[in-house]
Amino acid sequence: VFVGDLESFHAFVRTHSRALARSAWLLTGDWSSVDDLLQITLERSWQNWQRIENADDDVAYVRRVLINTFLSSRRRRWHDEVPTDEVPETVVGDEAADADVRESVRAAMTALPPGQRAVIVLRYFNDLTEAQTAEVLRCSISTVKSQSAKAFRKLRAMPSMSELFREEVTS
Amino acid sequence: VTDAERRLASLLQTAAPEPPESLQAGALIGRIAAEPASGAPHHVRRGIIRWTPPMLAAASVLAVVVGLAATAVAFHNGAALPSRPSAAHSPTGGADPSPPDSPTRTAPGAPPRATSSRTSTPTHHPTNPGNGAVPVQPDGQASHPGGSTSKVSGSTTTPPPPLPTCATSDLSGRADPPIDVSATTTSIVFELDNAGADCQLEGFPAVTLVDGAGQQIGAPAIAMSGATPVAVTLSSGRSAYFRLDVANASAPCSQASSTVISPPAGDASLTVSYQADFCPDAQGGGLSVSPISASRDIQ
Repeated sequence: VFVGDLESFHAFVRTHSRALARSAWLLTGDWSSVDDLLQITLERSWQNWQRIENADDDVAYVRRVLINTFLSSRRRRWHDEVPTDEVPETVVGDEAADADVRESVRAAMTALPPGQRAVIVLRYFNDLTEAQTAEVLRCSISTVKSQSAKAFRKLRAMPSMSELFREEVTS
Repeated sequence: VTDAERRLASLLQTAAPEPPESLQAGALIGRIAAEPASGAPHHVRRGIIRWTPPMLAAASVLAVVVGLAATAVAFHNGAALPSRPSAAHSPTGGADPSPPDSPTRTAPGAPPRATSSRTSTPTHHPTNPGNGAVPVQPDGQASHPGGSTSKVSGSTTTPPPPLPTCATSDLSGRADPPIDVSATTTSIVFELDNAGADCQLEGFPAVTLVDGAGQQIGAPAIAMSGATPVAVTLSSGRSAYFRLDVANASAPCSQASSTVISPPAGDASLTVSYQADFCPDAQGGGLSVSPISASRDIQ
């Protein structure tokens, strides 16, 4: 059984793993879940690589595998939200500000239901259109619109986030 | 795009950290490279367990002990064992951290599958009372060969008794996440898990898509051309696979909510959730199905 070209798969991983890992972090909020999610996603992608590498948009398909794996893992609740015990490192200046943003975003994202997290990541981090997001999530564009509007409102309303949103206006 | 939306995008960019070294491309490639490139059944859970040398040693010892015990039992019963190389003897056994013969669903420390969100409800509704919904057979190949699977080998010993066909009621099904293979075609790999005794499946399953009201959409799946069925042994607790390709034509489309699957020579069907639009062609066609396979990799 010929599975696919290993070289092209490695090239894909080299090009896209950073974005996939960061997307997965926004979805899950902790590296150990990211580790599981990426492992499963890449194994599954490699298993289907011959078909994926010949597809029009390989990134879209692997992204879909990632999102599907994430959503089904949450539905199965095998990896439920674990409060983080990572102590934020002491940092100064810009890095400290970034760390604040990171903690606020992590807290806000993990407070959203998984489906809304997925919409937010696809729309605003992966920068997909509503139609592309609907394609990944296999739902209608109107669902994407309503879910992303709902998630957006929730995020903005969270105290730590509303501050961050305001900063933009003043700066 | 509003200012607030732009702001959210930039907040997400700031927040998403750089991956630690263990999750950078090099490390990930190293992990996937440990996978066999082809041949042996892949399993998603492989690699989730962090195998340490003591665990590997224990697994090898266990494999040998189980192998010896099985041989003894088989000898005692006067029956030849169906040949099934154990992990310790497989070509990749030494380097492969996941013994393929261990029932992976009970592998210690393995998280439950990530993919099987879809509910699977074995049902016994009376499809296929005769041969009503069996798929189109590929160029004369028997798609439901039933018990005619034993092949007499050249040896002089008694051939192993043919295993019975798996009872549908012992099987449960689940679907992997769909993969788009072209702009119009989606592939889904289904897994059938055997909860009963050792049994066999051979041939093409009968597959239809149904909507939320249970109404069939389009025609039943046809057999993929060029695919030759082989008998697949499902030991108790193990799984077999098949792939469904959904080729979408243009509208009108219907929202499918599940797949109804009748395993080859089965007497009932099981339902696995599958939520997607299906746009059959003018003749209702668009579904094609692979034969039952021992491995997830179905080309």
